[in-house]
Amino acid sequence: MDADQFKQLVMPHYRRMYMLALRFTADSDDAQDAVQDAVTRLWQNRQGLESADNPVAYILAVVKNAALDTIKRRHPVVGIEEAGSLAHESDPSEALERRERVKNVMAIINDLPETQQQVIMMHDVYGYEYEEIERATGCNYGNIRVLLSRARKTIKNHFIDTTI
Amino acid sequence: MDDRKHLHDIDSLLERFYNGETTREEEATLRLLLDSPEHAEQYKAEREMFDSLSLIEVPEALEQRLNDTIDSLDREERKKSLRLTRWVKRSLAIASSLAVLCVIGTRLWQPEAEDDLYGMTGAQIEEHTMKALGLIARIQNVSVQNGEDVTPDFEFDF
Repeated sequence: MDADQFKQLVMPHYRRMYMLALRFTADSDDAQDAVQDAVTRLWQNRQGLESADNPVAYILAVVKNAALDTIKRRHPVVGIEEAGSLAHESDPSEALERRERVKNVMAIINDLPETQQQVIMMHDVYGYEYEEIERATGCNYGNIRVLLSRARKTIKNHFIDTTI
Repeated sequence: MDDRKHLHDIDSLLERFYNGETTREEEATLRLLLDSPEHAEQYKAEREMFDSLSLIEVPEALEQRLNDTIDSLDREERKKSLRLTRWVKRSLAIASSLAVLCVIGTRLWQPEAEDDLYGMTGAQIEEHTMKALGLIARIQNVSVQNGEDVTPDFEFDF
């Protein structure tokens, strides 16, 4: 498999790879490092990727391992769960707060009905346009708008509850 | 007056945002308006929501970073392969040279065995030596970049 074929197989999933890594690391920099590490591992084991029955599951499994290793590397003394909430930046309390907010918003999105979750992730997180979401989900523009609207209102209500 | 206009803009944009009607440009404007300190308290929940969502947005530079990583890995692998090819070719050239030197040396040190060295006549030895020298010349002249197969298309039949 050459570089172009590898990109065609892996790159369409880079957003999902990032979100999975973010779920484990709760830190954007760590998540990006983990995805880059995963891409390197996948490249070095291209034969495994090619022969995998489910390449996407294979890719995500590699990302998960890379994310866990990233946490271990950054925080070698503490356990994985603790590591996710510890800071390596100059201001630990700020970093800790940021990680908590990441976890919080991801938990809110995870609680949404699946179709709303899919649409808000694609539009507000991955940055897809409506046409792309239509193609990916099979929903029409009107449906997508309704799902997006409901998801946004639900998320807003969570934040109203927590900030009052 | 400006402040009231801003508030009107924010409310109007927020309503459209929650209805899924805003464009990307309008969403960017909305974020800018909400970021201004004078609206901090009034739109606390909205600011918190936008800030939190922006924390999980996929970074724009990530795609390029990953493409660059793949290109770099590909280049590195090609370089390694090239170094290996060069090493194999050089080793082959050295091995062939040694073989030819052995044949010539044996011939020189045993001049009385002129007609029965490895069961060959002097003419046969000369022919094989020339083939070996030709092989060395080919190995050394083959372009490293094009990765040609330098396996000889004849066999030594000593």
